[in-house]
Amino acid sequence: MLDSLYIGASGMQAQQQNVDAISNNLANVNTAGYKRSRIDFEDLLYRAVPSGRDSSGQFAATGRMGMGTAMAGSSKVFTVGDAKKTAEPLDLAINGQGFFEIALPDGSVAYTRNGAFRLDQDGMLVNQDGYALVGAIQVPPESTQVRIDSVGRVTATLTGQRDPVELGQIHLANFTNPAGLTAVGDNLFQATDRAGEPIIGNPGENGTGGLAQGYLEGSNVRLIDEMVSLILAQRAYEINAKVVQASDELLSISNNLYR
Amino acid sequence: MDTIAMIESGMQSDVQRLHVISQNLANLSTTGFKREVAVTRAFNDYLHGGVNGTGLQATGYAQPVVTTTTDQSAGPLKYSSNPLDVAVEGDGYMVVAAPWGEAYTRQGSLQIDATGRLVTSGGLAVLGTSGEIHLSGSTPRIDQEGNVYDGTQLVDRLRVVQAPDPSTLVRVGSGLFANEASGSIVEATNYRMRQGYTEAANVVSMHEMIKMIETVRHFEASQKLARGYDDMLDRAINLLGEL
Repeated sequence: MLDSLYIGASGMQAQQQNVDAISNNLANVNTAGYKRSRIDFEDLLYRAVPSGRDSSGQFAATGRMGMGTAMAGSSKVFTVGDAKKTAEPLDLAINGQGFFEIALPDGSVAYTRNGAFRLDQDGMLVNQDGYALVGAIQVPPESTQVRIDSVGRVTATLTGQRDPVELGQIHLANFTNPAGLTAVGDNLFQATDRAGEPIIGNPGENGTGGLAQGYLEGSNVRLIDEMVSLILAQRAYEINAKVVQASDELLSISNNLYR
Repeated sequence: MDTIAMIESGMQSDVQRLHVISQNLANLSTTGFKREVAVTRAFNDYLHGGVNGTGLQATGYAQPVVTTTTDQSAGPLKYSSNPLDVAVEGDGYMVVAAPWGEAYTRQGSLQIDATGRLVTSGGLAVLGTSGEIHLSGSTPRIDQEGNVYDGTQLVDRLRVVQAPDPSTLVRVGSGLFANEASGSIVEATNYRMRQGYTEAANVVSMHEMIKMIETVRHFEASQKLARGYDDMLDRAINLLGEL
């Protein structure tokens, strides 16, 4: 009936999704390897409205009026977060682009930037949720020092031996369009058609970064930016609520034309 | 035009004006959004040939007379640090391949699709001087002239155009403008590209708020006018009848 009512509502709806994304970013400010989400908005279809009649009495469709706003899409921003020193030998940070490959129990592969690995009861290198790193790297119980170099070679010094033994190689996956990956929770991403095929290689190849042992990548959420966005989103929500209120007033006034 | 029709016409255009205001406010957070301005047609347009020897000639059409134009002024640039965000500073639009041909946009939150093509957030290919732009990674470098580098290799230059008469650019939604057949498009000269920035909407919320108050109050005043006219008719019918 009154388009401005629905347009105001579309603005409120969009800002609510915006606040959802901002609050998720803020909640994960301390999650290792977390990538912030961002939401893009777009204006909705314009339609021509008859804006009057011209001198010959014909309707002239010169006015074009928009139909509100909507979320164009939500995407992850894959800028590299700050590396934080942890001194844990199994903490790895990727110094640039690339993802660790994680084998899920259902046989599929997921991708993560969170390099906080540990050993399970069999000495296998697994992530925090116990899913194995692809490559099946097993650390023998008698090893005293595990070293992972920047190109992903894993070596260990065993008790009573002088020379380190090689345990395996960590590969990284890279994507043409990382923003097209789907976040599935637990800091994991899944490959999609939009992201392209994973390109697997050693760290430092195919545009990926080298590994840094004893470091973890912090989230790339910047608190101040998120706070500013939150304030703006809240105010934008408020003003769109006012639009709904004003539309309501218009309806009320026109209902009271007749006493 | 009789009084009631005139009042109705005024109230109709208030509804349309509120429509325009709400569209602007709903898109406060839309990257590259250009605000719409409601234009009320001059009173003279109501008249057949204006004022002539026989006095004012009203057409008698009680149609709303609000049209819209686009305020093409630049919005503030917002730093985003995302290498795929590109803002046009100055006059100009980036060119994208839409299903119907070329479309123009200032919405520079770009993406790379699965085949390595530079696309808009809606998935339309962004055009360079030699067509679609293909990249091998997701972190191109874009300089001030719009040259796109893949690593150190120059791939293409983003095409930036402008319309000598901006009114020939018609909004089609999703931040896109289409060119009406009559309009001409020329390569832009006076611009700079800014990588890592997005252009915020050029909507000023305070301005729209004041327009909104104005509109609602005008609507209210028109209602009072209609009631006053109704009173007058009431008196004419009931009091004159008693004589």
